[in-house]
Amino acid sequence: MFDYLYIEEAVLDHPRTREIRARFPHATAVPCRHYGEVFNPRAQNFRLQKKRPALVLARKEGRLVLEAPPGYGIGGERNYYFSHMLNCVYDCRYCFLQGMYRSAHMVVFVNYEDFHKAIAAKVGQNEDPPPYFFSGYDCDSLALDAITSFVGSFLGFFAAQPGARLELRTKSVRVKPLLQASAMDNCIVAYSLTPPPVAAALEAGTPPVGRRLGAMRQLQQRGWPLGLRFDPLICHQGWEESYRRLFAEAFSALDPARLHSVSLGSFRLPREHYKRIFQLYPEEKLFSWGLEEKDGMVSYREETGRAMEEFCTGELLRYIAPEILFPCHPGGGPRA
Amino acid sequence: MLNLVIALPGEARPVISRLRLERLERGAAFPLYSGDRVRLVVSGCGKIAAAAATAYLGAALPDPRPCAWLNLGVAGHGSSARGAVLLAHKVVDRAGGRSYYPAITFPFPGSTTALVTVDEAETAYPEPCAYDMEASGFCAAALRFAGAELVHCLKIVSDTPEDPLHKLSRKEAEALVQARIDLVEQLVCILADLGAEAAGLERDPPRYAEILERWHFTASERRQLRHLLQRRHALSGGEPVPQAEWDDLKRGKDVLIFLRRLLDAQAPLRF
Repeated sequence: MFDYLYIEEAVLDHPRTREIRARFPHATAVPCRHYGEVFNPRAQNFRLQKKRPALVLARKEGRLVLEAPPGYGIGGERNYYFSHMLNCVYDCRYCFLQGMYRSAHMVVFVNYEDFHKAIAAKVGQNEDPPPYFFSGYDCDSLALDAITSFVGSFLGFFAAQPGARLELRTKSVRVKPLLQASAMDNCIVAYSLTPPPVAAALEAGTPPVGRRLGAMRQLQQRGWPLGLRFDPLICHQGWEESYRRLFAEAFSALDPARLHSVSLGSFRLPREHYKRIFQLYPEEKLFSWGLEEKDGMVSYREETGRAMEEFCTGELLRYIAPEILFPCHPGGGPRA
Repeated sequence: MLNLVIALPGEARPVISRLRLERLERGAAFPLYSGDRVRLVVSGCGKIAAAAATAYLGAALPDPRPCAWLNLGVAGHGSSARGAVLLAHKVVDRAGGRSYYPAITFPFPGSTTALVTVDEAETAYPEPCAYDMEASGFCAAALRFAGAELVHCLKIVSDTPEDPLHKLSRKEAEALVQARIDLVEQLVCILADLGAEAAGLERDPPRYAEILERWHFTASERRQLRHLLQRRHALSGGEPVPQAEWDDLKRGKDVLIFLRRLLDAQAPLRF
């Protein structure tokens, strides 16, 4: 999977580094002083690197937990995110991560315990109501778990933090670590879904929507709180019927009464992000049809975006209570 | 397109011969050669010469779009055998301490190495890595013209603790490159393809140049025109706008309005 592992000298002997290295016995390990030497230089092409990215193992320093952008919440008043990883194994064309970093290498910050401490400090500051911590902001929470063992480490930590909630946001069907653990009320497993033909065209490397729903069903049967993320909504010919079918399929697989939250938002990107992604994929139709710029955001023309959100909201409310439906407002882009 | 930077004429000779390169103008600051998809400059020894030759070749390129770059030559090595061919996965400038990390995004049919660029020939080989005198200068300059996926260093091991440098003749250096010319050519093809792919991403959309010649656009309008034509190209699957529909347009602004209308009329995407 990875031919090259760039490893910060400071974490060469970290136990998690050793575990991850052991999974790639044939990969070449390349020491570096700081992951930014590899990840941050301007002279890189994300698209070319995405063909064969490397894995970077590093220590996260500075601010490990950040406030989530407005409009990212799912019911909490205080929302934070943390990034134990940067970038994603999947290649979803609409994803915010496509234009986020110059490099397509995947960075794993192995100092999970420092994230635990930073999260605990935020929990301590906000006893009521419980803060939400989003882990799938700069990566897919589960997709690389077989390598990173992120889930095991953070479930253990959040089990001891009943006053905090964790969202795992994913498209991955690698749910074994969750199925083997006891369900936790304060851990929401949220899946991003688009209609299957859209997913097939725009979400390279991801499991098909049907398999994601199958994994969700298993998780729900085991008592895990689930989230559904219809973000971004993608406009296409026959979108009403596509989304109607997708919702019907989702709610025939899942018990809507036991869902934690559902969120939706039409396709949008900050202007500078849009420019970078367009440069990377000028031939991509998604970035060429029906978009306009307003207040620094590039999104569907107002009437299109509004029609999609209103239609999908109406359809979703046929299945779920309005209290668990959360529209995503402009400000951030679609992720995971 | 690939640009090759090679220190010595003897190292360059087998490449020039295999790739059938022809010498360009004589009397230039550095000897330049050119052929199908490949240009070559002979830099001379040392990282400053390598950086200067790289910059010279980069500045001489007729096309500003990115292309691939390769520094090829012989090197010492602390642990590999003489004749081994190694692609650098890290280049360290010993004097300055700066490191470069070429992004190897293609399957390379050989081994890789850390490569340390030294100012004086290394004869003690303290680490199990390669030692040369050009790569860091080459990287510093080439990365001004292309990204880390397109800038690489390939070294053929010429001297080791068992076969020290003082025994190496120029003829032997040439013979080492000649012996590995198949692998060199293989990498040249891979990198030339990669360079072409990178250049393709920055290609102007169809009719862009033609429209710029016919109508006047401000700098801002030129950017808008390029973006609109790219969008039109993506959505139409490359089908050009019929000539007759342009003919009545008087000003550059009219062209932009026309293109926006054309795009607004496009049906939603079909998946």
